[in-house]
Amino acid sequence: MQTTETYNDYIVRLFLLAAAVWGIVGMSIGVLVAAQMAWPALNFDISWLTFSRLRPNHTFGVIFAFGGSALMGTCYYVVQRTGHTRLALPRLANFTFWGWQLACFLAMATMPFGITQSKEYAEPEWPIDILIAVVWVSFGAVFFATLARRRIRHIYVANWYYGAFIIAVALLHIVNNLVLPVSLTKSYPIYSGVVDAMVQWWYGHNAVAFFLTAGFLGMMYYFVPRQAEQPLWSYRFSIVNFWALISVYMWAGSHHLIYTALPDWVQSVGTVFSLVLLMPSWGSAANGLLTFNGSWHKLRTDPAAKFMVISLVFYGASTFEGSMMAVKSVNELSHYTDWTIAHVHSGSIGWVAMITIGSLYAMAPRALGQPQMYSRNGMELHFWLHVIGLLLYVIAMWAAGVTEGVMWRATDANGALIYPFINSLLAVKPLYVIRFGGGLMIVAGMVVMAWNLWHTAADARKNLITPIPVPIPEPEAQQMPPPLSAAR
Amino acid sequence: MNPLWGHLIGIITLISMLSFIGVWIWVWDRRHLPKYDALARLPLQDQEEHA
Amino acid sequence: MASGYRYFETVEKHAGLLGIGIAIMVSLGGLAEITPLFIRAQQMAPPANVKPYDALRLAGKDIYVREGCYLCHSQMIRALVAETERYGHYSVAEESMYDRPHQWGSKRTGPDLARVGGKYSDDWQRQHLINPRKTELESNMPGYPWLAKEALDPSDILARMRTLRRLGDPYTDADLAAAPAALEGKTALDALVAYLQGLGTTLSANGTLPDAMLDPSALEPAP
Repeated sequence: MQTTETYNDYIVRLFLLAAAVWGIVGMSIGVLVAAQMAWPALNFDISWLTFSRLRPNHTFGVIFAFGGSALMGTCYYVVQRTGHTRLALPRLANFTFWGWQLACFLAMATMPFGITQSKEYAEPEWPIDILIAVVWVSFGAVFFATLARRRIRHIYVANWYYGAFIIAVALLHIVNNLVLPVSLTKSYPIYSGVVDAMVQWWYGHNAVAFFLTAGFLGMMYYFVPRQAEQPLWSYRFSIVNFWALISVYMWAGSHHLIYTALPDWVQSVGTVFSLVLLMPSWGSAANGLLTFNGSWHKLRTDPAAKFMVISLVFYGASTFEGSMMAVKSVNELSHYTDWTIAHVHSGSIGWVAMITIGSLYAMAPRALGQPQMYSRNGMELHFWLHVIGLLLYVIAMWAAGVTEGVMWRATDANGALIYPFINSLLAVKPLYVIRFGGGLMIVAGMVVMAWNLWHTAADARKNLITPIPVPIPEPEAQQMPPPLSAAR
Repeated sequence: MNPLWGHLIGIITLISMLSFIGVWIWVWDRRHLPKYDALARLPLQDQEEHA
Repeated sequence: MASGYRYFETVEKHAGLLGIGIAIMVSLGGLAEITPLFIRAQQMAPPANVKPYDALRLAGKDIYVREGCYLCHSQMIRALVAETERYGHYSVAEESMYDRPHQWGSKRTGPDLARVGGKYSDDWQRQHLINPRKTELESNMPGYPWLAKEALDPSDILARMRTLRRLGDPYTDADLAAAPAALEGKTALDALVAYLQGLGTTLSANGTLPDAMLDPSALEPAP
């Protein structure tokens, strides 16, 4: 059977471009705020350049603008290819691109000027939140409509993760952002105090769970087997891990509030579920790593595979760390310190950024009509800049966190505190400088990636790309539900 | 907190636990294996056609 | 084989069912943890001495929120000896019941502020906010000099207090009527200092502490 239907990779290319641009923007702001912590003069006494106004721009820019664009782009790429169908609702898909870019731009353009809810990781004010919700629901509509017209009966596991990511993030975003507006630029949350804290960390923790984990696991479950050129190590194991992961994660948010005024039982529930969570997290990491069995030689030749393997190692490491930090006695030391920052960044620079970069390097040539990336040496250089920068960053912050934790609670023989607060800051200042250096290397790597993508996209810029035809699978006997008509 | 709430959470946990074990038993049933093997190869198609 | 398509497998083949399954599983945790807190907060009668922020302090709190102070300062003293030694009595839930959003924070680049009220003079606070290195040479806190030049808008505070009243904060008509005058001629810096000086003083203002605060066994010993 022949068909003229082709994959819609145009929208994928747009998101690819956006991810590269936002990655550089978000991470550069990160480098600036890191420098401000070491050298406060860099705040310049200018309100919109001040650390506390800019840090939300770093987190929003990296998580939602960079991560979000990469997730939506790969999601559209994967759902078409694992369903053997062209993307449904193409106009709405285009709207999700432009709508998402507009929302990100508006958020980044308002937060430094004090238009903020100051809810961590949900800072944009309510008009932007509404735009985000509309784009997100449209994204869900495009995704599920595409699933509905797939020609492969079973829904491939990567799509489960993308589906969970879409549904859960919609739920989290809406519940956490319920506010009563005062004006266009100011609102008050309907929750206050302890309830607001619980809602906030239910959101904050599960933004990590469903945005930074489930979504990127969707990416992993497609691009890792493809890049390893091996079938997924255990498909059935991935099913168990999926249901365990999505049901357990939602309970663990209260581990952000241990020893606080939150009722004890909620804290304990959070701790218990955080420990249980280690199982599906390591299950997914193991599934990805073992998929490379028989293909380990690829690590010598394929930088994209290297990014993926290291990302899975960091996924395993940071989920272990996360579960440990949810234990009361560890949390007592680590909470409020730079250890939290180390943990977040070993997850985000190690796991999230590296699986994204690996997947982008795997996807870009195909989506841009090239046999491979423009420069393999560029990819190698990016890999080493990223890994060394990552290690500098997290080791410096681990050291800083433990130093702070220990100094804050150090007492002499009479039980009196030994160190004034400022001493702990003085002790970690050199580590802030090292962290800045690590961040700088990571941004440099991103610039190398952008340069590489720019050259790989030469044909795309001249509209020379041949669209990739959609394969039509053989109809199977006893198909339930019946196969969708091939001639569409 | 109303003590009923604790019972409710207990029941939810129990149901989740049982369904977790159920999913485990279900997916390890041998008759699904050929289908799962086929699915595990799905990401490779894109590569093969390209080569 | 046909029977095998029933039960769990149907989920894997129907996008809609898969979606519903996901929605149920992801809702359970939040429902179990947030609903009882929400119900309790609705039922809880506020302690007599915990009052909503007066107009100037409310304006100050909104400046604190706008500037993003929570990114480096927590307002939550944990029930640990090392923390109560440094910062004072551990925080209780009632103290933040009028904070929308809560300002518990997650990171201490600077010290906790839950009980900073009254620890320093107004003058110290002003100087420190305008240029932190004037009062603490090695601080890495940014300066906020623009606050001293920013006049408050007395009409805006009414809209804010009305919104909060709609959300259930017990502002009286008299509170609202007096609000604009309280902001007349004040700067953002005045308001922020007033807010900071009130932090952690609410519960002990008339010398009474709730029972939970008097129970020494609630304290976790240092390891």
